Amino acid sequence: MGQVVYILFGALLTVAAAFACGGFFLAGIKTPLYKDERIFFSFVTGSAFLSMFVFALAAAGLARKGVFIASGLIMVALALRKGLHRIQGESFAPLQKYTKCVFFATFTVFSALYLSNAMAPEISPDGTTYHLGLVARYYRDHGFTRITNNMYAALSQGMEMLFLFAYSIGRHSAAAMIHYAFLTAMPLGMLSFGRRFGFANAGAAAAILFFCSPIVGIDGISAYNDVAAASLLFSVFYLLQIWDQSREHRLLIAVGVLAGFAFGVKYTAFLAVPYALGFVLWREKRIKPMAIIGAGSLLFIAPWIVKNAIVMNNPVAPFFNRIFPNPYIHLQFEQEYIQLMAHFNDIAYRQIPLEIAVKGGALGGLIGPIFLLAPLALLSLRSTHGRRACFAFLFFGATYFANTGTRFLIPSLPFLSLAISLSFPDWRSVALVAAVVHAVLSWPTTIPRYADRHAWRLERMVWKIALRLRPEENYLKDHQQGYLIARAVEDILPKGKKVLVFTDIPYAYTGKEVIVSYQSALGESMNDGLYCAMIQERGPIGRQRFRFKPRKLRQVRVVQTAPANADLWSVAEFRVLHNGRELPRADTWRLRSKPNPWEVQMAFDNNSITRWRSYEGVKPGMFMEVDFGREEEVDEVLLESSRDQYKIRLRLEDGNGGVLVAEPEEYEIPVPLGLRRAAIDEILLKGYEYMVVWPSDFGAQDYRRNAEIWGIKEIAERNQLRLYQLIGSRK
Amino acid sequence: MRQRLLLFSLLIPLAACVTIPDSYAPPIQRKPLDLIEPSAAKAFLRMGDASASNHIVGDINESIECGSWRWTKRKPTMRFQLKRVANQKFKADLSIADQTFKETGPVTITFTINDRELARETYTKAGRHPFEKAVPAEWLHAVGDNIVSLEIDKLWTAPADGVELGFILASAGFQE
Repeated sequence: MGQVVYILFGALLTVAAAFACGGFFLAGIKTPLYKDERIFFSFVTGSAFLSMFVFALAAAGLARKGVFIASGLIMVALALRKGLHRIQGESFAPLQKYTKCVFFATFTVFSALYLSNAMAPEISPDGTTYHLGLVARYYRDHGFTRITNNMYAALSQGMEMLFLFAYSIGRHSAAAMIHYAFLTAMPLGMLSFGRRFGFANAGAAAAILFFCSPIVGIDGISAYNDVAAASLLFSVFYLLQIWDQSREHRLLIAVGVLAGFAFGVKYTAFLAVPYALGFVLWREKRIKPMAIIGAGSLLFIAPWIVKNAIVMNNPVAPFFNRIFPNPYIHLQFEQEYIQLMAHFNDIAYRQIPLEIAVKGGALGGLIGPIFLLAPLALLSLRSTHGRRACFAFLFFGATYFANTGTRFLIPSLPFLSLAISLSFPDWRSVALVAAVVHAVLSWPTTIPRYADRHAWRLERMVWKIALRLRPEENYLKDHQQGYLIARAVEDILPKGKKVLVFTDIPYAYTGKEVIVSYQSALGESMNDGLYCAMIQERGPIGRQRFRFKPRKLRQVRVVQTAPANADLWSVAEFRVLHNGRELPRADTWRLRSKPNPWEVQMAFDNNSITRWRSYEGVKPGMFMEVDFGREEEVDEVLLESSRDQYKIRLRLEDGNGGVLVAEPEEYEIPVPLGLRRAAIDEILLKGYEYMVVWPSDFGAQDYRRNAEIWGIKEIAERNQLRLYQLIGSRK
Repeated sequence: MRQRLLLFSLLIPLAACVTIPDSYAPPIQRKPLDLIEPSAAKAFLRMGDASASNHIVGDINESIECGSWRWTKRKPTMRFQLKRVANQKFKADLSIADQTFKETGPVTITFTINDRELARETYTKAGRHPFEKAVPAEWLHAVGDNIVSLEIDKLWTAPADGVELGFILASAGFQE
């Protein structure tokens, strides 16, 4: 039971601190808000300030439990002293009785479902990996450390800052409950919106549509950020409508803060900024309101892009690597990742409506069958708010096609809910009836009657585990296949050891550093070595020999001349010879390559398992070059390479662009022995001494059968996941 | 004030322009690959062994049939490592399948070791044909690979999918 106290204390203190920050802010800008609105906006704006406060602490290396508790208590105490708990403002006109009953009954029942699941141990795929895995790391390190081998560490992490506050006290479940706080705040905010603008019933119906949506429920109780992003976008929209009515420019400060924080929570929510700027420009055609919003948002955006600029050499990492080239993310990975996300599980666009509304198996959850009525939203175009809700849905939903997973629709879902509800202006109770039908269809026991059994959704209330009346371990191992191996990593490995994995494991449950092979250039390079050892086509069996009459040269450059195509150019070893003897690689040599200059050394390390790769489709003019630092007698350049680059054409040039050899002789050799061991040695050199292999990982059987050849030793097996110690050639 | 904000916003992207060197010195040189790994390549290979892929150079199917043999193509090639070169015999357990023999008729297999022809055998009936022959010591390498190939003169083409197959190989290698 003690654990429950910590969870609740961690969550409540974080939320209370957010309220306190928001209370001070709203009092400072003297916003004309109703009581209910003030509660909602205190929380969301306060979350923005609290998140920035935690960012500052993490940047200063002060992310410690004591600091969080003390600062949280001080914030709350100051707010109480200032009387911020006595909410200022007028009250809305009372709700109609049946609206009140329907809304609060639905809200209470679903809140209970959500609360029990939020308090239960965190089991979500992304929550147990990068969302809380990184939070746990920041907590261990007392702040930000330079993480360049995890692309997710480069995303904006405004929500993770709030998680960090709560996590320091109540660990994973406390963090998840912060997202739950946004989840429960949303329907109250949406109801307030309806009440302010004279359509309380439609507001209540919209709130229920959003709140009860199955994907919103499971996402909102997990340590994710989609529902928080939805809250922020909706808040920006809401405040702009109030501003449009009152033209109080002070409101725009809050708009700026929230729009900036939206970016801070999720990159794709950056649309809040252009939306807000565009809205005020449209309504007032003056620069000043835009400047207020721009300045406010910049304060909350800048820390993230400055952090990325410093750590990743790319302010918007892990994207736009062509504009901001850097050694940490390969361009090819970015392109493949974007492509993969845009065609999630290869679901065709025409299948998406049914998949996200009803089935939910292939796109990771469902929004609920009632949303098949989405075309009805067009009827709402008759009203101003309906038109604005429709536009906001389309505007904020524009990023959905960058990632077609269902949860990426959540940020724009409040606006669709509102537009659908507003489509019944003459029969408002119909909207409420539809909302109740949606709630019934969204209840966990109803969903299996129509949805795919693999749809990501909540299954039941879980109070016993939420209150820790049942062991947490059992729940975790039953719901997270990788949990036990993560525990094995934690229990078996000595402190400070690092682990390479090829498929995520829930590393939020281990204190050891885990690198996922595809999430960074470093991971990809290690993985490439393993693949080269296993796949003949990738092995160093190709030879390209450039022979010419002996000459004194200061530079030699191999240039790729084939027309642009999708093949990647790679070089395992670049050797320079004279009279059949290789020139020793001297410290005076300078090595260059274009593109990917940072990995050129991999072609000069005397290890044919490591290879330099272009990591983008070949283009004419790509090159690799050696400057000897002085003239050397040379008559041959030999490239060791793989066969998986059929469409490249190479030419050897001297340092002045003169062609030495127009085309190399090409031949192959048998696959050298020892590649497996060399690949493991290379991983060890990079400081990783263990790896976890899922049965579905490429090479899983090879690692098991040929462990001795690889130089690895299985030290644990849990749920078919194997933990290997890497020994390599070490005696 | 507006100018300052503009300047600040312009400076942020520039923060990404941290100087990263565009040329590098050669790194620490790794030791050459271990050509002799006790468990990596042996003198004798059974096709069902987990380490078979370390011996197979080409023209032998990746899939193992019944856990013990593999189909070859025209010129199955393997490599072996020997601790000693004296008194070595090359042995191969090969079979000509009934089905392929019906179409190809008698076939000739040429046994080559390190580019020298050891034997040329003609098989006039289907079935199992163990092969064994002494190998001159001077043909063999005590350090590094010994490359062995068994080239068949006629291939059988599967009518269903056009796959070309040679013969069945269960084991091969050197024994004293």
